Amino acid sequence: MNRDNPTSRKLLNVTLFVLLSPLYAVFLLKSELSVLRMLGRLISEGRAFAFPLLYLLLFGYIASMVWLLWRGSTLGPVVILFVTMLLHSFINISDIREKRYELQIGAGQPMLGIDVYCNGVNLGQTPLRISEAEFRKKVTPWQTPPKQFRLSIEEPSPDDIDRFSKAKYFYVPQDIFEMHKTWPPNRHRYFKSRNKDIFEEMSGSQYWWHFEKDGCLGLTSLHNFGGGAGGGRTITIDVNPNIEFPSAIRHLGLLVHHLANSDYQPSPQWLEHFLKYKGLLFMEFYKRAKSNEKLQPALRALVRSEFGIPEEPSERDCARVVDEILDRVEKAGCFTVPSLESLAIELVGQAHYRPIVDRFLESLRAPGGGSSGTRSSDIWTTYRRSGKRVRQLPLEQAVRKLCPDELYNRLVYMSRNGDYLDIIGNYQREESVQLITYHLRQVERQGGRFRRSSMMQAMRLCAKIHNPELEEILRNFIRNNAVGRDNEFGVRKFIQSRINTADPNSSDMANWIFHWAPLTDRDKLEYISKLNTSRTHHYLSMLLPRDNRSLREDMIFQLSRNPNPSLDQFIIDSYKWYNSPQGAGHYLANLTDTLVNTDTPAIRRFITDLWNKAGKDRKTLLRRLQRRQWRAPNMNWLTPLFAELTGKDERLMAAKILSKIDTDDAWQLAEKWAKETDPDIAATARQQLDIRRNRLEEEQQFIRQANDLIAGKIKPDELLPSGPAYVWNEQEYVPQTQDNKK
Amino acid sequence: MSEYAIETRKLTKMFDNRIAVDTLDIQIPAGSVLGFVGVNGAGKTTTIRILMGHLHPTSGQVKTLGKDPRRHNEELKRRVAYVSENMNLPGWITPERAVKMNTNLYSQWDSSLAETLLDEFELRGTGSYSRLSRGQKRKICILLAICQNAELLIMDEPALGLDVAARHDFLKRILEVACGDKRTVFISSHLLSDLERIVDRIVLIDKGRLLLQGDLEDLKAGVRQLHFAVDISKEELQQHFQVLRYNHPAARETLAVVLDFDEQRLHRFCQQNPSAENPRVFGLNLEDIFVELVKNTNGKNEERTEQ
Amino acid sequence: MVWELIKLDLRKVLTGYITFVLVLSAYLLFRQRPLESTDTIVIAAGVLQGLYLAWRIFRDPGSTQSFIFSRPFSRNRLFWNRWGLGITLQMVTLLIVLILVASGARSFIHKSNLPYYPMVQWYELSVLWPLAIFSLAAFQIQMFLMLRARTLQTASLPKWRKVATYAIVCFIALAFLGGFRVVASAVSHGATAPAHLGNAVLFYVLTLTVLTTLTSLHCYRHIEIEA
Repeated sequence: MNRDNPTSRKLLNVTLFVLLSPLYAVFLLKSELSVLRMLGRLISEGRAFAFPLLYLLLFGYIASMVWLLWRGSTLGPVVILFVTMLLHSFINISDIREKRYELQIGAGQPMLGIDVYCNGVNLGQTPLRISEAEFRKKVTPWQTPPKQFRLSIEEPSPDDIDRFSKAKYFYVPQDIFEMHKTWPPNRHRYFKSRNKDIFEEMSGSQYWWHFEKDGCLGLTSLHNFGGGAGGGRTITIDVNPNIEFPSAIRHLGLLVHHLANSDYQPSPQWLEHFLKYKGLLFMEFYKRAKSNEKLQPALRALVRSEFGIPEEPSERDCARVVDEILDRVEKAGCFTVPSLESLAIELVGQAHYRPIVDRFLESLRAPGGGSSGTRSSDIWTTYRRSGKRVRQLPLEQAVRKLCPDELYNRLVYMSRNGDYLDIIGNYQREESVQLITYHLRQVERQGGRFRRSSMMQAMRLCAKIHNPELEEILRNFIRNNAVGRDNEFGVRKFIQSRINTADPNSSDMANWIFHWAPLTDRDKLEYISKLNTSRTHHYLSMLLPRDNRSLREDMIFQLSRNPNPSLDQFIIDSYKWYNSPQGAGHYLANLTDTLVNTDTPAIRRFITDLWNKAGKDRKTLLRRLQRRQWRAPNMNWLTPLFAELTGKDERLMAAKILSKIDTDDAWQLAEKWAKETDPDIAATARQQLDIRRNRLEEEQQFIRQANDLIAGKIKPDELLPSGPAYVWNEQEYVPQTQDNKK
Repeated sequence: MSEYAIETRKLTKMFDNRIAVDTLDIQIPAGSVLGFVGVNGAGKTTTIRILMGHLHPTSGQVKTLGKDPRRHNEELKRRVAYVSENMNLPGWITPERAVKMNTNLYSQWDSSLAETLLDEFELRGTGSYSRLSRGQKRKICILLAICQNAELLIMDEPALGLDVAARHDFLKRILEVACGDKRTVFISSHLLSDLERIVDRIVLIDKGRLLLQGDLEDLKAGVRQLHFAVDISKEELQQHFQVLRYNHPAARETLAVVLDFDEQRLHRFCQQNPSAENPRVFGLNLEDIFVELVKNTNGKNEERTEQ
Repeated sequence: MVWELIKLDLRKVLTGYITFVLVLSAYLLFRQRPLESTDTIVIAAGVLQGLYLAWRIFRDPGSTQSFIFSRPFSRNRLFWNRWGLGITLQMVTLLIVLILVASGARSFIHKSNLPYYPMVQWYELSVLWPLAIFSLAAFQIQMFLMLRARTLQTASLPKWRKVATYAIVCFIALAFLGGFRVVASAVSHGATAPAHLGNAVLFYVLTLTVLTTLTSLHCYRHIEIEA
């Protein structure tokens, strides 16, 4: 046989063709790499050079497929690869280098599915990705501003000269694409504008954005609607506006009232209504449930209702729920903790973990690669992954909690690349300790340019592991390696994680923070003050410089919002100091609030001592309590003391506080004083009783409103009082009045 | 079983556009010892490789021991022993191991002969093949072929590299093989003096074409050099003889080499040309015959070219 | 009788093969991290093994061709024996690796200095897959290309065509590398592999194996033996 034998030649060429077939498959079929797709796009954009490339490609392809000449089988892939390399910009053709812009909105919010509108056109839901070409096609620029747009419902202070740039708007003007076509991006005008300029600048915008979720309008400020942009041929403008839904707070308040009114047992209608607006309400409800045990049953009921989980779920029920969670997560492209999904998967996992284990193993077979990311706040964390890998996120969360034995060996194997160490660390096993220790030692030894990123990752890992056997090792690692500003974030993450999990050994934690944590004294103070231990006060007194008044006041302010019973002595000492000639009575209002909020035996004794001194001290206390804005039922223990008052002035001041105490004992005293012979005291007492009556009526109104809301008779946005609006009068925006109101 | 050990019919082989073998028709009776001769590049090795199935003919037919070598490859290799011009064994193999290997491969292997030849050729204990001299390498190849006891023994320049004594032993062994029942020997060699001693048939090819084939004795009997003391024209000679060479070495002398000499033909010639009485007649050896035949062919080709 | 043929071919590859297996075994035993299916050294070793075996088994050096092809083996038998030897040696390698891993040798060696053992012992068997697939693919491709070159008698091509062929082969190799880069770039930007890529790869390797084997057999039947 020689080279001219046609049969042999065909056989050889067919084999050669099959050998080179992956090239054809990848570059013709795989969409991201597809030569045909790229050519199609270039042709649709009217690029002239696309046609010769297309002909060249077709020629090479036909030559190899149809003729199977010896030249064809090598020519085909050569041509395809050449064309592919051209299109992937290996060769510098200037047309290919033209930049394209894409806008990405809202990737980081825990609330997904927020409708994005521009000039009244619905562009889709977050996370939204849209190219400039598509945007220009869908949205028509407005040559004049909209006739009306609204501010937030909270009226900025009239004295604030920056009130409009700080305010929140329902409709935000922003030419987002044009802004990023210069370098640096031209987004500073709103930052620097004062009020008189801002509306003038707004009126020049041709694009007005607003956001809606479940029919409720969202608020965002001008500052928040800027964004960063990536580089390269396709520039992605990443915008993550902080969108609030003001009706949501009021909405939730009404629902909680309704719940409280029904003894915290949610009705099916209540559950159904809540779940309809779960995107807006869940996170805030979760926060409240964390600090209010009574809301926990409702939270569990929500989870069960959302996924149809019976009280005693079977394994099939659990499997169904897990599948539904995974489908939702895949559709959303991300997984948030906490969320209904995260709570549900933990709930079913505790009943039957086998479905989770099976699906976890199955998910490991998903192809790797792709992008991932995390955004978080103190309360929530949203994890993103591309493709099918996103389904692993809830499973990992469940496995982290459940630690099933069946998965241990596999997880150890996968941890060789640093994956799943956070899960392994939670297993209560000797091997886990050794593995984590080994990994941390490797990170410590690693040098060069990888050290920084792997150190940050290692610190994040330490924050995620909650295993008593590893605690000391983790702390030592943090202590030995958190050098420099780069690692400060990791240290903070670690400590915050310990505080968040309500570690029963928090005195041990406080001790560690004080003695060993690589933080400044100020930072140590911030964290120790959140721990309720017997040593907290001692550490605080060591860390707080006596002469640093501003730091002391920061502490007092923090404690007024988040009382810490272990720091009652500090509050008492501070009160004494500020009440002295040196303190000159400054900051006593906050201190009084803090005293009242931190209801401990020592503070009660202190207040009682002040009370018993009578005279100025008592009057000062009463005056401070009177000026308090918030209700404080824990002041109820003062009611008997009020009842023993004899002086008129003091009784008058005490009477004005009864509505703030707002307990049965306080109202009984008010009723008693309403019948007093002294008309001033009686009148004041009756005023208090009126407040109570109004309050009760208001409560009933809230309940009625909540019922209407649940029944769908009113929409959540109708709960909003009408805020300040401005109208366009062909030249500028002016406040809306009855005359210019349409 | 075919009466011919080797048979080709219009065998042609081309390499690209070059003709190596051109419509070759040869028949080698079984049991004969054939000498296959030709100048360098005549197509001998190509023909042999086709006979062994190592090359595929471009056209024509070939049968070795009555079978197509391409289709009955394995069967024929058991019955045919082959030594090629440049054959080499793997470098690691020793003569003893090569013998042992072949003992396992061939059922008709002659072990006692192999042992005898190992001693005779002084190959025992010489080490691996790569360390042998050229002559020793040829000896082991010949040994393996002879001891195979094959029906057909094909050898292409087997004595290349052998010293005089070794060639003598080799020829002796070939004769012994030739004496075996119906065993055919096919040898291609430039050493025509050696061939003359052992072959009984001869095939001569040139430029891929057959020049002649037949009995060696008949050939030698038919080829004579005639020396006349008068001028005889070529045409007169050609009326009676197939003239291979014709020239006048001196005035009134004619020298001719003829292919088909016999006494009767000479007598008839002399009757017609009385002046050519009593010519001197000389016999030629195989080498001389070969040279004459080849020159004759080339001369004819030159005439054709000139025409 | 077949054993003699096997011995002939085995002798060609044995030294190199044993060296390769020893080096690979040493690497697998003493590697300081758990074995995995994406180990580039194992993949390279697989490719090297396949290339070496095909090249050594199917190449008859130094004019031994006429000796080998005049032994009493049909071309079919010769081809299948050689192919079978190549496959068998690859399977022996896999068996050795399997024994090394499954016997717990790595666990024994590394238990004191690596905390992954013995938990990962059975998962380390995943190293068999890339070794098998890449070795098989390299063996088949090398065998096919060698026999293709002999069939097309590329050695007798004029020089300019040889140069042109080498140039095209280099360009294709560069294009493959360029293609890998493009794929890596797409993956790093979020492209994911298709859902059934593993099945597609397996199907490709099997198809390639069958086709190259049959084509190589066809070549073997028709190649012309050097003198």
